[in-house]
Amino acid sequence: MRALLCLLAACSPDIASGTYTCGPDGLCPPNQRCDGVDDVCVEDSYARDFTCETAPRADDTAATGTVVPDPPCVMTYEASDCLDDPDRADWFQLDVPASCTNTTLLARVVFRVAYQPLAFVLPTGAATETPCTGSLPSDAYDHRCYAVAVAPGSHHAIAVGLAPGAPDCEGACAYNRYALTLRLATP
Amino acid sequence: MRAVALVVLAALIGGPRGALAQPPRAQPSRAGQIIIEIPAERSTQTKLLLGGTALVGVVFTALGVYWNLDARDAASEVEARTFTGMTWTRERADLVMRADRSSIHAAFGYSIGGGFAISAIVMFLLSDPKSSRRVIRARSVHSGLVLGGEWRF
Repeated sequence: MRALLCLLAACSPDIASGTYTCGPDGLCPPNQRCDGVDDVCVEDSYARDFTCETAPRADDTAATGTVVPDPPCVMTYEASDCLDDPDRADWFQLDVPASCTNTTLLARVVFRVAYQPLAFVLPTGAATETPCTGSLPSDAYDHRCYAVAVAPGSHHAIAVGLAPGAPDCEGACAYNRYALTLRLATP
Repeated sequence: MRAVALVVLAALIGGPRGALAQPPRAQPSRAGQIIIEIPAERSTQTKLLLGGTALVGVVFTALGVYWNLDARDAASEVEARTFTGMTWTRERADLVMRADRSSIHAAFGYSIGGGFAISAIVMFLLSDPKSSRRVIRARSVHSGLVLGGEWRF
């Protein structure tokens, strides 16, 4: 029947529910909506609200941020979490060992494009974000990176927050999930 | 006498070819009679009207086919029955809009083209000129055969 209709010019594409992942700003095919759990475009009636699976932590300030335990001079720390409050930021603290010389702190956060983009909340006076070089799992993701030379024995705090002023589906998708990678490396 | 001569000539050569699309057909029917079927022809104005109507129909139908194919092309690029692993982007949304827009244009083209095509067919049938028929009677005389009849041009 549809082939006949298509032959007679009514060629609206047939896009089944659950065939595409959500696009930027929660974009989905006609009559579909972004499922907040699976990040997949589904029929309106099947779309679930976004929820953070992890329990909220008391890491909203630089002083109370999650501490990276005893980092060596060369290390990689990974954390996954989500943000659902524009006023909230997830802070992480890091102490560079005193024995480390010529060390760089690299931070990279990967997040879904379907929801409000994320950005690093950097200490006052810190350098701005740097271009990312790593690849992404797919075009459903975006990333932000930050790199700064750190002194031995110094203390650093960095946070991930919702990028202020970024598209948020007019407030309807002011949240996101993320995977953060912190690395200490010697160039 | 002049008319008789013309009819005889017409019977021999098949009528005035230059003025008719088809030559008259002479067919014997009853004894002593020759029936000549004289096909008529549409006027130049009617021909132009028919041709123009048909041409407009063809042009709009062709446009409808073009838009139909464009709609199918755009639709096929985003159609999916199973999980694609791809992200729904503005470009894909534009393809859906293009498919919808071209579908509307195609329906418009088919409607107008079909309307003109049907009009051309109806006009062709209605403007079919009536052919005329002439009967020539033959009569035996002592010295041979004489054919008689009338012909008007």
